[in-house]
Amino acid sequence: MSSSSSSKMIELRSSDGETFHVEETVVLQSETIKQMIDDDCANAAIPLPNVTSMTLAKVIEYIKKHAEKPKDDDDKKVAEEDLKKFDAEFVKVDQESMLFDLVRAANYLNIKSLLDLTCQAVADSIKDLSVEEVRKKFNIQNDFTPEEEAKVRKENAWAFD
Amino acid sequence: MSFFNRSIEDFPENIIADILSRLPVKKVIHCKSVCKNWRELVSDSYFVNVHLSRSPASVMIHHELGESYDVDFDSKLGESFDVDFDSELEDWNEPGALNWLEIKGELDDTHLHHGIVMNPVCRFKCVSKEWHPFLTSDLFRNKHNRLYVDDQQNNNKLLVFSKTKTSFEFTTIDCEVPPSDKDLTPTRHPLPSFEDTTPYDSDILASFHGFMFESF
Repeated sequence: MSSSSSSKMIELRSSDGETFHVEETVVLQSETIKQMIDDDCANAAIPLPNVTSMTLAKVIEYIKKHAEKPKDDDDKKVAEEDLKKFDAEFVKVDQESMLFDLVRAANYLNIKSLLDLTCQAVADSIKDLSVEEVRKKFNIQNDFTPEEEAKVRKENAWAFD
Repeated sequence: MSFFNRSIEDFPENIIADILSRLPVKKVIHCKSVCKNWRELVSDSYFVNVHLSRSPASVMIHHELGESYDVDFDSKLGESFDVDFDSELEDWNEPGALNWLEIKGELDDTHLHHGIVMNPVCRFKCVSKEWHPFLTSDLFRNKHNRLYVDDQQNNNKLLVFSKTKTSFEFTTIDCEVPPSDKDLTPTRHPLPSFEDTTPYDSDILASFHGFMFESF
């Protein structure tokens, strides 16, 4: 429980039934939840059927960190640096499936900064891969015929040097 | 456990577009050959616009060297690479995305009826020999290193070029300032008319951030 009791607590329930208590001011970073609160649908626990407890815990860690307010201007600079470091560490997840779950959760909960961060992390993870490696990583079936694929490559030959 | 036990295909398209739009141009083109879905996605105007909004405006200079052409990107921000392309002009018409550059204009009172337009994706280009000394001059480089189109009323525009039987035409749509350019004062130039001497049937060629200028 947080020591600053001035803010109302909101209860979130993950897909696997775990409940989390988060300050309203923190959870408002989620446009989806903000909408629910505005619509007065947040009196009981808010069910999040698309988000597992593991993912939700990460998301809450993120929005809590991003809700911290620096005291003064000097502090602000330090806080910005600190936040940058936090973000960089945040997307270094052990299991890559977690990163993907975070993208989904950020999209579902509509937390723009988290979506930006995680999409960038996924992009970074594929930018040095070959076409075949990208397919493998994303579990995508190559549906081109050999002729079609050769054509795409020929049309854009300069990029495949 | 594999990263994508669940296929990326169950992501909403806008999320895949978001991810791919963060890749450099070359990688985006590689993505065209991953699967048909991705090829469509990357060729879609929605994707083009998202990618453009993330791309720094960069200048590309096109030299004629003997019988072949070389292209340099002159940008501290953008990727720098050479493109070797043949002069089969029929290949121009593939609509494409992004990150390219456009040059065209008038110098003093001399109307330069050719400009340079180049899009590394669609490989659209037209070149003027008269331009080469000018384009490689310090004057040009200094003045036009990082620009994007602006309509003189502080609105940033994305140009959409199309080619008609007799000329090139363009329309503009609103766009975001490339993120890296937000701190810079935009340089504004009127949008001149655009001509070319090798007309083809009308086609949307590309949309892009770029710049144009008329005269100094």
